[in-house]
Amino acid sequence: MAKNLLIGLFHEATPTADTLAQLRELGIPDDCVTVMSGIPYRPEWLGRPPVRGRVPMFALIGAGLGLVTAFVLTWGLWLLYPLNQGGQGITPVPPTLIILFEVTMLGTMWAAFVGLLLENRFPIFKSQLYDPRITEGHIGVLAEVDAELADKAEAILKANGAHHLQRVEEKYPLFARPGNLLDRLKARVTTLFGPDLLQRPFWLVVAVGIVVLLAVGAFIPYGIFPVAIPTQMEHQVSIGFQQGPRLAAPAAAVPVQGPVLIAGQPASTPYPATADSLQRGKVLYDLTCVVCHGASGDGNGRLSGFFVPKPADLTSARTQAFSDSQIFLVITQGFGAMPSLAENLDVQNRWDVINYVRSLKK
Amino acid sequence: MSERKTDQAFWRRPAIADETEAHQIEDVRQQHLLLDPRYPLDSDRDVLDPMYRSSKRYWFFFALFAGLVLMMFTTWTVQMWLGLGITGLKRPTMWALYIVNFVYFIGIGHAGTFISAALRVLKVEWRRPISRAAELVTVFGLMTAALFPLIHLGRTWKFYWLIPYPNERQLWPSFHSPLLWDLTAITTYLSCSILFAYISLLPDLAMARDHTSGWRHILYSVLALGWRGTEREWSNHETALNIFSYAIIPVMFSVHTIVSWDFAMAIQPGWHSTIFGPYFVVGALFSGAGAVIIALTIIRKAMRLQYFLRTEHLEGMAKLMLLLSFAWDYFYFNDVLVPWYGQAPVEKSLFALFASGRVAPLFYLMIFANAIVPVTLVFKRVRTSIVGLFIVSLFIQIGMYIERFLIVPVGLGQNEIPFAWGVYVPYLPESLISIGAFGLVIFLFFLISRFFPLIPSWEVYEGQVLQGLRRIGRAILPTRAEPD
Amino acid sequence: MAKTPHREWAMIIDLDKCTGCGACVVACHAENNVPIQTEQEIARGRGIHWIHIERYWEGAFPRVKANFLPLLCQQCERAPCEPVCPVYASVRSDRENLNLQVYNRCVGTRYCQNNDPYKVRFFNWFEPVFDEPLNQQLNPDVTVRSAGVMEKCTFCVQRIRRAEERALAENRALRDGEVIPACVQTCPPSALVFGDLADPNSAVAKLAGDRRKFKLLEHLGTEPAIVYLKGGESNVRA
Repeated sequence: MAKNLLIGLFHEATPTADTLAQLRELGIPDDCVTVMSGIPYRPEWLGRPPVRGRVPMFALIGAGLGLVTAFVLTWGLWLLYPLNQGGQGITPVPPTLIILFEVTMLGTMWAAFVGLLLENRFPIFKSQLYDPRITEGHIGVLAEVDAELADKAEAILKANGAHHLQRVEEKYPLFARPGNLLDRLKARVTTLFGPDLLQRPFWLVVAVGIVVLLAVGAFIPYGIFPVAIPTQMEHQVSIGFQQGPRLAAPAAAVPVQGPVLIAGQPASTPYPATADSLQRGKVLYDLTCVVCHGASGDGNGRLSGFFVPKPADLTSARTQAFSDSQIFLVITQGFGAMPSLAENLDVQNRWDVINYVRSLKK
Repeated sequence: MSERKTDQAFWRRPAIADETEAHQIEDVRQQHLLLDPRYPLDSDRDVLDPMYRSSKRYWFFFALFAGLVLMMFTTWTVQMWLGLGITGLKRPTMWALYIVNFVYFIGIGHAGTFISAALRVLKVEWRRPISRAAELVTVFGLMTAALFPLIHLGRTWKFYWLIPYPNERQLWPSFHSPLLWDLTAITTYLSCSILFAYISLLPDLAMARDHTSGWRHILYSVLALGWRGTEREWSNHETALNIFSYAIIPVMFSVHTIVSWDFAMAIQPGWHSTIFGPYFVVGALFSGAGAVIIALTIIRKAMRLQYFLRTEHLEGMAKLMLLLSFAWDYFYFNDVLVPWYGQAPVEKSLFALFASGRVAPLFYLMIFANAIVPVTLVFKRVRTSIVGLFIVSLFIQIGMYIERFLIVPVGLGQNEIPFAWGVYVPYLPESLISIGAFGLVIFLFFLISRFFPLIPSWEVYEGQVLQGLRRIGRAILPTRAEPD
Repeated sequence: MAKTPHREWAMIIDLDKCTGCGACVVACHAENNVPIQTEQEIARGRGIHWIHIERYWEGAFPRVKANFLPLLCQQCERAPCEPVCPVYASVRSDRENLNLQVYNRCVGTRYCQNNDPYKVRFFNWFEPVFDEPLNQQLNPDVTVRSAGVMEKCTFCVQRIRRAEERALAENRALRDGEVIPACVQTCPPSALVFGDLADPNSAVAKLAGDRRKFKLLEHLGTEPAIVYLKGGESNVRA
């Protein structure tokens, strides 16, 4: 059954009310007539049935959700991470009440807003039958009438002084009228969410947007999208026990403990460089010295890279120019970054190593 | 069908035969916006036209305030880069000018809600044309205020650690802390204030959509969400506005109470006081009312809205401000009397500082600006003079700013450990950021004034429909129809 | 891991012994990587000293008398600085009666300092600078704090942890006097004593019963873990 849409504008409220009454007499149900205005005319002023909105219901649901959220945020988290801050106990009541109040109000108002949008089927971006003069102060009457009644309805509008009258033929009914159970269910869904919920992707976009935002937000702190701002104090200027460069002692530093080299006197009685001594010296050198000074004594041992300056090249003329006693003291007391090896090598061992080092001379 | 009574469109003025009566009616109309209706299109043009026409003077001030905003954000960046040490903050005065600004801007954000929500609930008619501007003062004041806790943070880039959000550290913020109460309350208040302002803006956006073309038409079509003004839309709109009005008033009270609790919860002498809650709320409304008057007088002049914003509205605000001034006096006296009588040593030293110490000039200026200047509002001549009102409101802003300064850094300077006492002096960075914050609020107003109608015209028309004239004896007086 | 026993770390400060020499301040700086501020910053009230000696003068010149008060975090049982922190950076350890400061949680609201009646919490206004070779002497057991976070005395928690771990490894109870914070270790007249109040035989438990004892700002009900001893007149006259 084809439907006709009629829209007319009125200056005053009384003729509008008359028109509405006459349209009702004509047999056009109230829900097929829409009144539009730039000023909130109350339905009863125009003799229309009151509008029952569900915005308060939305607000109540929102309040409930807010209350539960607040409770989880406070007591839930406190019980999850029990900390007796400032002797307040694990679940102090007064702060809870404050959060309960605020989040409940937040839920109430946000839900009232969402309710307002849903109840009005907002947002509507497709074109609607409307006259921009309505916001100039006119009252618009939009009637959806069967084709056979359209002429009579138009006459009523005209008789009451409607101006800017328009008539449009509409193939589909504006509002679904309830019939059997399935139709009533459909009507229920349409009245709740608007006639073309699925055609309007707005709410889908909003939902997807929120999920994406939350996900992106979650990925940043979890390091999936790393943000390299080194402010976590993970880079420390202090130097740990096993890290960092070992600085050389100042040039003028002298050992203050242990034997002292006195010119002309050996630090201890030297051992002759026998084959036995050299063999022992090589074994001991490979145990204690090789990691830094290298197998060939050139100062390129495996750990040499960690030292500034590098370990001494034992084959060099400079080292070989040391007297035996000087080398003995270096082994005994350490030198610069080199630790004392007195605990590793006893006096005889040290001479074995000295004899071996002498044999490394190029 | 013949003898049916009909009403007249509200903008029609019946011809009055009697000349005296016509004069009388004309007088009443001059005074009262709601009795002076015009064809809505003319009024709409008055609201919309200033949005398209920007004078050279507008662009000059726009550039000036944009510069201030730029300065503020540059200084903030520099401060984040170099460290908070470039400010004048120091050990006893860990909170100073940034927190003063925070309290001040939250404060001016209170009058808007009070005017549009509380006066709406109380059906005070003079709120109608000023409610939009007042709501915007709230929104912009709160936005600016919300920046300050971030500016104030030692590690601003970690601000999200305050948000209850499942992060990688498995650590949640502590709801023991008044700062978290603040965060929750401000989130609620700011987001709901924006929604509240948006809901009441919807019919005006539809109005703007119907009277514009080009990109503005597209913008307003999207923002108006398809508003047609059907009965259902209006009815739900009314319900939503009522829910918001009733819900946001307690939130408004809670927000500044919680701001006061930031101080009152600390066992700092001079802060640890039970009266801080209502005292701060009254102070906020007081400075907020002043801020709204300043905004209204400027908007009225700059956007030529003399038809909408009349002396009656400013006078209404002035009366409210006078009342709030008395309330502020009362609470301030309470706040001072009790510790003064107690003669606790630290508080005693604080009073000595106020009465004759280094901050005495500030203290007496505050008393003068907050308690003495507003008393001039008892004279109708001051109440109805726009310049006079502007000056009084300016004094109140200065007075209330000083009041917060005396509470925050000066109060912190004297504590239980005399060895740690200190004198705070603002340095350049925080001064620049504070000036920039004022610039930001004004800049946002400049910006919004080109996009959204600053007068809720539908509310004005509704009032014009409901108001009429009644003769009592020789006088002709305004009357009002109450719909529900 | 075996259940760690409940402890009540506490410190006794005998004001009658304190000479105000400031050795504790130096020791604390060295142990805890406390940044050393420039003269200008200190003059502006930006100095960071986890323990510092407050000097209160009595009388008029020439008959003046100095009273020394070594002041450090009081490790309160009901610490006012804890609940005001929005991010649990200032947090309670009920097990050992310590008031911990977790540097990397801190966002720098500085509320804790406002609510701290003793004013012993410090803020890093700038990134701390340790010129070469000063970085060589930094304690690797203690985090160097970045700009924008609060810090305060920890009772040398790194030493407490190390001693506890050693005791655990050697499968024995912690001995009294095994944990010594840097300030206690350094104090020349032994005015500072540290120990566990939960152990009735410890030196602190015995001294805490002294009739000269008092706690700082006791009326606030913060229940500090630091007990001051003060009897007669100050021992320092100028």
